[in-house]
Amino acid sequence: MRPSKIRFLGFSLVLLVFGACGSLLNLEDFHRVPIQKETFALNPYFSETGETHVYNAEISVYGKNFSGTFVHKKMNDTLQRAAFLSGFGNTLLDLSFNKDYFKLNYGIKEIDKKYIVTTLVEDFRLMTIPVRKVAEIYENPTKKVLKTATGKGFVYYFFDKKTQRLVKLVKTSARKKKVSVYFSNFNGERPRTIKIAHHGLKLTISLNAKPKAYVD
Amino acid sequence: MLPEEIAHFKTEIAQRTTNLKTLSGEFLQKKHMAFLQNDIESSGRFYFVAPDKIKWAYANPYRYSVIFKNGKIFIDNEGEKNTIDIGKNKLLDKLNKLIVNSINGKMLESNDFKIMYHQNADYFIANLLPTDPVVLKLFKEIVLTFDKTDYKIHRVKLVEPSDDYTQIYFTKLKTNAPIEDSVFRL
Repeated sequence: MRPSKIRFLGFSLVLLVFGACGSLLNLEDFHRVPIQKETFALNPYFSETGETHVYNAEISVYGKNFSGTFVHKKMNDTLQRAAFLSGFGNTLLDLSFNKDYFKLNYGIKEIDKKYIVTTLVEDFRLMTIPVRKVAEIYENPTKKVLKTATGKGFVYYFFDKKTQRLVKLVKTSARKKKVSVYFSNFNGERPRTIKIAHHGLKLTISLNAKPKAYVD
Repeated sequence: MLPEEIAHFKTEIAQRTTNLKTLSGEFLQKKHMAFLQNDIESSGRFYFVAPDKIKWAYANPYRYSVIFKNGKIFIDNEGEKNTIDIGKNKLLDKLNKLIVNSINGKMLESNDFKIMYHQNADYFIANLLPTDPVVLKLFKEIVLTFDKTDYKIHRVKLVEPSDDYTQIYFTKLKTNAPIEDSVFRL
């Protein structure tokens, strides 16, 4: 390899490494904290087996809006179930999934398209997977960020230091920010409002729960 | 039911359908899913003006209103308002028509269903099996229950291909009472 190509490759690697944890996620004011022992990032919001969550849902995709109900239940240690119902109650989408598998139990023909189903599965996984091993830790005065590797990219967990609550998840590829999930409007330790926003697609999913929206 | 009982029941329903100008009342919607221990419940009021103007106003657990009028669907989801051309949301339009025609009795005149009738002490029951493939993908059966005393709709049950189902119970029904036009504005 010629020296100029080696230099170019080295420069690209530097961009890649600093790009991923610098400007990509705007972590400039964070400092890296050494990991002393094996650490895991925990998402407590969908982690109780047998508990059902019901949210009022609004999906906005390329200017089109769909309203309905989002239902989630953790079936056992690994398997989760998620469904989206129309305002009239009929099922539009019903999925079973775990970390690396999913099954479409039912989908109306407008939704039963591979790219739509896989995008929604990835979003629900990001929002619900209860535990991931931490690769790096960053902190600033108000937030603690746990960086986890997914194989294809990274998921960053943002915790509010004061409340210790998980307030944001950001999924990235090696180079690009892909999806953010925001948890807010807490009722006890439950987020009443969850927003999933895509950075490359015009797709937003807004979920809103009432205090007593847990049916089981 | 005997053939003459079915004929009498259909005549009574058809007469009411022809004379129906407005219908309003309360509803309780219960969604049953096999993987949940309890049904998901929602409730509110509905307003129908013949031939095809309707408002579903859910009050619990969420404030969600959907109005179908003049070829458009108006939605207010907890203050978030949207207007959709009916042509752009054929599914919602289809669902609405199925439910409206269930309430006003028009479904019993439809050729898109194979219909079986039976009765118990309090209700006439019509089991509708869809023959239209578009409806069949959504529902394997629709069960309509009418009160024997006044032939008013008591319950619409929409059974999905998975056997999960939605039941909508109707109460405090008022027929041909005036409904202000302002009801159909968000």
